[in-house]
Parts: sequence; structure tokens; C-alpha cells
Amino acid sequence: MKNEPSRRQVLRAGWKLGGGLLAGAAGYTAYEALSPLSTGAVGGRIEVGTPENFASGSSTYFAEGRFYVVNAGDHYFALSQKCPHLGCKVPFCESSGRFECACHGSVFDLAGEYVQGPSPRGMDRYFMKVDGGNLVVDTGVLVAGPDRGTKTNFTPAKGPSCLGKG
Amino acid sequence: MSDQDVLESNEGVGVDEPGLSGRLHRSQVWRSMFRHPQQDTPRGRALQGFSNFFLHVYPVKIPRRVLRNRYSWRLGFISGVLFLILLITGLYLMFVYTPSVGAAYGDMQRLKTGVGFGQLIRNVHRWSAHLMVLVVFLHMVRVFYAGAYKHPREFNWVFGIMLLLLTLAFSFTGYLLPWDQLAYWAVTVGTNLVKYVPLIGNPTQNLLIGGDQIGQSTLLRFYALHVAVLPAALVMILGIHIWRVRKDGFAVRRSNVGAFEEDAVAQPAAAAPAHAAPELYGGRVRLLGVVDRESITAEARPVDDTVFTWPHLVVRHVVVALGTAAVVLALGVAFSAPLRGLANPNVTPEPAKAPWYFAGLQELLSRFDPLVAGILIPAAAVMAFVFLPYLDRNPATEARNRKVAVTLFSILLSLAVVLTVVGTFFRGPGWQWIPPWDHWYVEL
Amino acid sequence: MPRDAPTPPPFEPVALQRSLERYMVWGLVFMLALVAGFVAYRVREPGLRKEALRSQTASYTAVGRTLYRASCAECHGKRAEGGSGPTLNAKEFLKATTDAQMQLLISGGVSGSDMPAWNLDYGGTMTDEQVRQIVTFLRGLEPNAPSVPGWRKGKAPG
Repeated sequence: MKNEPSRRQVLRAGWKLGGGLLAGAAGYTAYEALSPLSTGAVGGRIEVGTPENFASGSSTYFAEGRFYVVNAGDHYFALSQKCPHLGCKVPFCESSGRFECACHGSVFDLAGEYVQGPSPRGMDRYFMKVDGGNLVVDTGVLVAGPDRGTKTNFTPAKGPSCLGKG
Repeated sequence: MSDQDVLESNEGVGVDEPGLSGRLHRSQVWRSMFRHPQQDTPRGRALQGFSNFFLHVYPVKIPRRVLRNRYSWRLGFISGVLFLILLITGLYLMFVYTPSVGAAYGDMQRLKTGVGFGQLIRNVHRWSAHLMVLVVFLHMVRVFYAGAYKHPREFNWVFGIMLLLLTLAFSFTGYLLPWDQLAYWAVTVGTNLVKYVPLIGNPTQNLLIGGDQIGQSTLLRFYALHVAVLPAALVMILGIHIWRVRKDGFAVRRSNVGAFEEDAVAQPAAAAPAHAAPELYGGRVRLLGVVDRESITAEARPVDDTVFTWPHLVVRHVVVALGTAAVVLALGVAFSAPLRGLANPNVTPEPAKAPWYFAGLQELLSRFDPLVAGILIPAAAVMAFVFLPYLDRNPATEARNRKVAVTLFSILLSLAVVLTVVGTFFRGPGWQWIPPWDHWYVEL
Repeated sequence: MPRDAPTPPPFEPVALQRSLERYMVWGLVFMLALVAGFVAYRVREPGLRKEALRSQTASYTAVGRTLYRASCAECHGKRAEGGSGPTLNAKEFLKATTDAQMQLLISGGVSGSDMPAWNLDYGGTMTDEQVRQIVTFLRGLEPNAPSVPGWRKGKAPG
């Protein structure tokens, strides 16, 4: 008699279970309803011109996609302007030929690889491909930048840094 | 022993409960969150009601007749549940919707194509809104036939009328927000009624729509009313309404057995005190300080007339709320809220109908002078309802003892229903008589 | 729930207990119905969305075509092949221009050219929605658009 659950006990357990399920369904609905809209197929791809337009060692900014296209010794990269540290816009320093974040002093080389500062990794990148002779940047997918210490496309500073002059 | 002492004593807190859950329930952390001992004894239940914030809307004990669905059909409670559903779905919609002529309609389409559960949320919001108008109205009808507007509830009836008008205002302001043809023209027809009021008509209409025709400022005004002004007003009045229902002891007490003959059968059986624990009614609950002075629970009435609110009424209410939610969810899954083309001031769709709850008014307008049909009749009807409890001095609540009031009300009610049904279902382009089986011109 | 007595509390009539349990069963039914409702909608949603997007694009394209014929064809050509204004039915134009850019171009016009501002906000005649309809129509041309490298010049007779 003690071990057999009463009808009321079964019902109460059922209510707790049902309430949990309902809360789960409501939570999932809330998550789906408030998830940001996908931008869709159109507008995610931005044509930036032929590779010859980008001189070696140069960086070109594209405001419409908020990224830089760089040519680091015939390796082309589309780098997001957003610093992986805390999201500041990373400016390109013409004198050193590197990306130097004025917010907290993170420095990246031309290929966006980590050089120094608080950033946890190199600058984030977008996929880029050649389509009909043109470089096309797909801003739909952001790829996390290379880990600290990656020196695959390392470019040394070509001049004085823009940071710390004051 | 003060209430606090009872709540803080260890007495009865899972003392006989073995194992891990017992230790959890006895722990300080648990007891700081759930302060009441959860015992299935009269005292335990009383304390649960007494020390729980949510259960404070309810008294600890209620007359047993309140449990009967057939008394109120729970219509007031269902209205409240629908309002809660509307609040929640409305909040979701606010995350998507921009009250701008350029963006509103696109947002409606985005709900359909891009927002997770977006169309469902909109469907549920719309069907709940229509249902709420209906249920609040039925609640009023039921309260009338039960005679529940009589002393001491006169002014709560007036609050109820205010809530009905607020519900209509809610539904009407919300009707414009999708900014499609349906919205634009229904609201155009609706707001043009106001113009027929002599002297103040035109200024009032201009104030309402923020100009001389419906446009951006109308949309913004209706939006502000819909999401800020009306909710605040409704929550406040609803709070007083419910508080008074509780203070007045929920259901009307029948003075004698009449229309409700089951009372005669039910009462003697319930009055048998065989299963009543004698010490409960010997004042023990009151000694604990659960009620420190005469109140509803201590009214002089047969001992067995009351039951514990928790769990009996609370469980019934939760079940009714779940049922209501299930119905509107089913409606939302099955039927999509309509979205016509973008609002176009240059093209009037045929027929341009007001929302269904104003269709009766539009029907009247097609038959009488606008001043009479659009203003005098509705104003007189509202005034008659407001003053009803003060005009009707007959204390009886049974239908057979208030034949005049019941007959008059029934005639008015059937007139209103007939007009609304005719206006909604039987009218086509040019307000021609077209039965719904010939062509379906109903849009919700 | 170990704190419950295994038998109904002795201080209440059995009938009351029974009716409470009946309600609890109904509560369970409604809870499951609600969860089922959410699941049912979630299953239907991708299809509903695709259908809504399809019908929306179709109706926008149709309305956009009418608007284009009425307002744009005179300069840009009946089939958007270009006239005194640039060729719009050109792979080069459609590929390089996003919907948002087109929306801005039509709404605000191009200063220094014959392209006026169309949006009501800028003194034109069209609502945002109508501009979007024209953009949808033009976007629909993209899959079959021919390559017109000199699309900017249009097909001006002079």
C-alpha cells in the first residue's frame, strides 16, 4: 500500500511533466520567434572587382560589406573590420602596412594574423572566390580568424606603427 | 503565535519525508523560496494560500458553489485568460512590427515568410482578440441573467461595461495595424461614424486619426493606444474588477431555491458533517492568524459550504486556462489571419465593412439617420447598461421574479444579435442583401 | 510526491476528490494538446513559409511589372532593354546591385541625371511597397538577363 502510487500522485507527476513540456515548447517558440532573420540569398554576395585591382601589400575598404580586401603577397583575403577582441572597427595603418586597433592596441599583419595585443585571434574573414574574373565576397558566413601564433602569410611591418604616438 | 512564527517553525516541513527530496525540502534555500509547508492538511492548505503571492488573488476558502461551472460558465475568467494570451502574443509582435506606413505591411509579410512561428503568433493574437470581444460580451449577458449586478455589485457591473468598451477599443485600434486594405477601410468606415456627433464630432475624429484622413499619424496614434494606453487602463480596471469580485464573495448567493434547483439537492448532502474534521471549523484556522478578523471565510453559513481554494478552484482555473489556450492555438494552426493587399486610399474594396462587432451598427446606419443610428442608439444603449443596476431596484435574482428586466434585456439582446448577424453575414457590395450561402463576404 | 498522503485527505468528501482528479486529467489532455499544436505548426511551417514567399514574390512581380510599364518603361524600355535611361535587364547591373541599393536608387533618384525620386518621402508618387514591387520585378529578370557591358548608356537614339 505504501509502494503503490495513488492516482493523485500519478496525476501530480503528470502535471509536472506536462508543464515542463509546455515550458519547453514555449521556450523553443520564443527562441525561434526572436532569432534574427536570415538575410536571404540576395545581398549576401558582393563583387569587389578583378584581382589586378589590388596591388600587393595594399588594403581596400568596402563600406557596403564592412570588410577590407587585402593582397598579402598574392594571397587575397576579405577581412571583417570588426576586431575579435571587443568589436571596434580596426583601421588600416598605411605607414606600417598593418591593421592596428586604436581601441585596445591589438595589431594584425596584412593578412589579418595576430601580432600583438589583447585580441584572442587574428581578424575574422569572409569567403571569397573568383567568379567570371571578378573577386566575389560572400558576407553570409564569417570565418573565425587564425589562432594566435599563426604565421602562414606573415608580413613584417614596413614602417612605424600608428599607435602610441601621443 | 504569529503568522511569521508559523511560517518559520520547522513543524510539518517534510519531517517524515525520507531521502534526498526530504533533505531538499527541509533545506534553508528551498524554504526561503517556498515559505509554506506543503502539507495536505487543512492547516497546510490554508497556509499555502496565505503565504503565496499568486494565490493571494483568491481567498483561502470559497463557497462550494463557486466550483460549479454552470454558474458563470467561467466566462469572466476566460476573458482574463484571453487577455493574458493577447499580452504575450502582442509582446512577440512588438519585436517585429514597426508602426510606419512604409514598413507595417512589409512586417506583416515578414511574419509570414521569415519570423519563426511568426504567422502562428499573429493568428493566435487575432483569433484571441475576436474571441475576447465575444467572451466579454457573453460574460456580461451571463451576469445579467444571473442577476449578479445587484447590490452590492452595482459598480462592479459599471466597471464591467468599461472593460467591454476597452476591449472593443483594443480590437478596433489593433485592426488598423496590419495596414492592409481590410484594416484601412474597416477603420475608415469605423472612424467616420464619429463625425456624425453634432458639434464635437469632427474635432473628435480629427483627434482620433490625427488629421482629416487616415495616414501615418493615425497608425502611430492607434499603435500608441493599442500597446500603451489601453493595456494600462485595462489592467488597472481589471484589477479593481477582480478585487471586487473577491470581496463580494464570488458567485451570487441564492436567497432561496429557485432557478437553480440543484441547490436543493446538493445542499443537504453537503451539509452532512460526517467527513469534516471538527477542529478545523472550531476556529483553528483563524487562531493561526490566517484570517485575523471576520471575513468571507468566517461568514455565518453552513459549515460545509466552503472548500479550499487550493487546490480545488486553482486547478479548475488552470484547466480552463489550458483549454482556452488549446482552443486558440488550434484556431491559429488551422486558420491564417487574413492579409489583403497594401492599404490603398484610392481603391475602396467592396464591400467596405466595419469589424463584425460594429456590423450591427453599420446595419442600423443603413436604415436610419446617421445621427440616430450612429450616435443616439449606441449612446443610449451604453447609458442604459451603465445605469441598469441603479434603475433595477428589484432585489430578486431569480428569472421568475424579475420578468420585466429579463424580457426587456432579452429583446434588446436579440435585436443586437440579429443586427450583427445580418450586418456580418447577409450584406455584400453596396450593402445589398446577399445571403452567405450565395456569396461569402465575411472577413475577420 | 512523498508529502501526499497515499489516500485522499480525510477532511474532504470523496466526491470532491474525484472531481478534482477528473479536472487534473483534463488538464493533462490540454497540456498535451498544446504541445502537439506547437509541434504541428513547426512541422507545417517550412512549407507554409515557402508557399507564402512564392505567392508574395509572384504577386509583387505582377504588380511591379504593371508599375514598371506605367512609370519606368518610357526611359528604360518596355522590356527594360534600355532607352534614354540605362539598360536594367543587364547581367552586369543586376548582379552588382543589391535589392536595398535598387530600392534607394528608385526612391531617391539619381541627381544630375533624368532619373527622378519616386518615393513619396522624396516628393515622388510611390510608396515603399510599390518601389519594393518594382525591385522584385527587376530581380525576377536576373536569371535570363543578357550581358550588356555598356548598360549604363542605355540605347539612346542620339
